[in-house]
Amino acid sequence: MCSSASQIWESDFNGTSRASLFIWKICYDFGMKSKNTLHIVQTILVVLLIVFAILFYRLVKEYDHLRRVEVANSYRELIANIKKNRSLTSGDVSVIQQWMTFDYVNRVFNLPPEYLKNSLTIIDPKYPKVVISKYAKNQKFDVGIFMTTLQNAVGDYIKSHQ
Amino acid sequence: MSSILSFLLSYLLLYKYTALFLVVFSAAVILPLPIDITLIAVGAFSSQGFFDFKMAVFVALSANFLGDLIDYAIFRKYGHIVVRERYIKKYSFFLNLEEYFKKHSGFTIFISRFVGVLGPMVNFISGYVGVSPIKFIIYDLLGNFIEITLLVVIGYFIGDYWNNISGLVTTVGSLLVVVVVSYIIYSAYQNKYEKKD
Repeated sequence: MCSSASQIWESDFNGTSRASLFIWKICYDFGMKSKNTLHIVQTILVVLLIVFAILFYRLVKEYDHLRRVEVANSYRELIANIKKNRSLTSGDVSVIQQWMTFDYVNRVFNLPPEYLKNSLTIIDPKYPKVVISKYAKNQKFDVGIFMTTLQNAVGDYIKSHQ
Repeated sequence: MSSILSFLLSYLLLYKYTALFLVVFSAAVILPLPIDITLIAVGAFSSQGFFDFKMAVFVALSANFLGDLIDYAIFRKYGHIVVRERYIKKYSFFLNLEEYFKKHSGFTIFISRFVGVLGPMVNFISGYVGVSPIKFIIYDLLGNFIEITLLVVIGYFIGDYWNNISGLVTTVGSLLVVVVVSYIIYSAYQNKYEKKD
């Protein structure tokens, strides 16, 4: 049964995502070969139930993670935190990420456009419209170290202007 | 954070509305991109003054609508010949699913706008079963407007906190997919059962 199912699977469903193919294969093996609708429905629903259980477990874990990082000790606290932290200008430099651009960092931390260019001696002509990680890689810097230097520079600016 | 999401966000920051249009359009047509979390991030960028809120909603809505319409139009023209002859006619279950969709097309189009990966599939089916263009446009626009506005508003109010809830959003989105797919399959089967009675 499996070999014939695999042949049909490969010939008929070429190009579809692997996850969909997996479900199609199960459906074929257990139901479609006999064209028994009940079997197909039962099989799909059982698979979906398992997926639902896994996702629900993940949802609980995600919520638990938010509680652990003290994002959501309670619903009210979550909302309060959301209101308090809705802007990067709160001064937490750890939120600066590698995918951000210098332009974006300048804007949200209210930095003068030339501040980072001068303090980090950035020579890229496209500055400030450059992705941080891309710049670090192009200059053959260690991305982690460059991120720390950048965060320190932003932190220094915030401290000196408080 | 996934590398795909980092890539999308970098390009959003570099090319703003052009990138937003292309990302949302590609996701609406077929690509399985993390669009929910991207829209939440766009909302967060709006709250920081990097995007204009109204413009972001308008661009995302236009891109999503256009992508959906292209899927619908292609399958309306070619879907019947390709899909029905090759797959649907062979299995009574699919014929039943087709019948269910004809009966509940409006609701299915609307609800699928909230369930990312199901969107393109429902667009294909809508075109294939010949849902009227007016009906498709109304339910599609309504669903897209609510979904996009909701996500951008969430991002706007959460601000830089959006990254902490990205896992939660993805899981809730996946749960919605499972629930909606289960409901459709169950309803389609029940439909057949009732018809036999």
